[in-house]
Amino acid sequence: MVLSDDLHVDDETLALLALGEPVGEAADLDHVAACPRCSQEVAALRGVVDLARESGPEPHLVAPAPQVWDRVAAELDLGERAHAAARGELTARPADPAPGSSGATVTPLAPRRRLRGAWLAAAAAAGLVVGGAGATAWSQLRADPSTVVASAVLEPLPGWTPGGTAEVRTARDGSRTLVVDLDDAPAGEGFLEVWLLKPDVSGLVSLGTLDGTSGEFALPPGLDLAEFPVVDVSDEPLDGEPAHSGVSVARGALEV
Amino acid sequence: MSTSATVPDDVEALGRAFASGDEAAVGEAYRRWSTLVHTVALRSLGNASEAEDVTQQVFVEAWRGRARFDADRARLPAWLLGITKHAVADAHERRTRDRRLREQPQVVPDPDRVPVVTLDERVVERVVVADALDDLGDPQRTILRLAFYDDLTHDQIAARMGLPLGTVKSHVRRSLARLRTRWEVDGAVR
Repeated sequence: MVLSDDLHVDDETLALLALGEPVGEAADLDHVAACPRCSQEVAALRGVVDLARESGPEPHLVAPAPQVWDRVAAELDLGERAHAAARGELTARPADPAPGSSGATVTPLAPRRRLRGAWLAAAAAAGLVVGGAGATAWSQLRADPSTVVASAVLEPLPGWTPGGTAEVRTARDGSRTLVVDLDDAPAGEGFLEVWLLKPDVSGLVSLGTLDGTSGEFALPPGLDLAEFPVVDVSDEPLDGEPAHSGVSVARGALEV
Repeated sequence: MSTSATVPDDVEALGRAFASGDEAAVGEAYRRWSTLVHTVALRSLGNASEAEDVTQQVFVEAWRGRARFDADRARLPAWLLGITKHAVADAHERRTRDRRLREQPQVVPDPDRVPVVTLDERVVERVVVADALDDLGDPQRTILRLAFYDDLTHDQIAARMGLPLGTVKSHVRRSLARLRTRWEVDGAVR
């Protein structure tokens, strides 16, 4: 008698029974017939065996034609990372949690880009090219391109004059953009950089360079605004040093 | 495909990357499950062009709706199959509508009597199991194929493959359990 757990028929015998093999001694078969756990196990495995046998030895799993991926990528305006992953050249990774480091450690994240303009242009193109789905997305975008989910008043720091505003907008696809508008161009030494800070300035995330007095910055997916709620604009010398210069021009906390 | 890319646990990591918006995740999801989605659509609709449209629609909708995907509660392939189910049902509905417009201009059918064609769950389940079998490395895949389709017993398989009896039995048990998990988890389409 092939018993495991002192009580039940062992799993290997149950698997072979599910395949229809004449295994097990009479006592095993009696046990399986009487035992709900063992009989359910055999029934569940037999369900799998039946499904496999229904498909037959040539189940003909059919990959879609290569141009289907091209259509998906075009409709979603996907970049090279997505294409490389589709070719199996790289593996997706969850967004890293924001580091809780102390001091002025820079956390470089998303590449600097003007997300909303590119997204609208791509949606418009998709609407023209693929009709249906693209056209729907386009009309939704026109009706409600984005929703303001948080805003901040930027106050000038001592010695600086211009203040401004900042808003976080969420697009239909869930992507978030920080829009920064300064009232005037600060008279700084170098270039302006936009950051999100922890309230106690113990950590910060660089969002990119502010060109002129206003700009839009893609927020890295997974970035928790509750953890980094302070918008900071800094004056950065062209010294090749990626850390915050310590010279802030304007600053304000986002209110959700 | 017994590479590290198909170990069960990384489906969860991929799901989290997908939900967090890493574009690589939609590419990887397409590489791994577009055949599954496309085969279900093809078996359900019997039309290559419609099956391609459904496949495109599924990945576009999945990526646009990724904020609704909860990686802690669902596996990405199951979620993709759920979207596939709706997309296939929509395609069937479009056909019915088109046919009604074409064929019967004067008779207005009672909407209650129009049969609602939905996805044949069994089609999804069969394709999921076939895909899971395909994903098994060897010798597991060959062992199960000999058991399923050649009706060989485990001792015949052991003799044919030159493997110890215990090894074959252990592979049968674990591989069947693997297929069962994929069937129950990924094939449980809402």
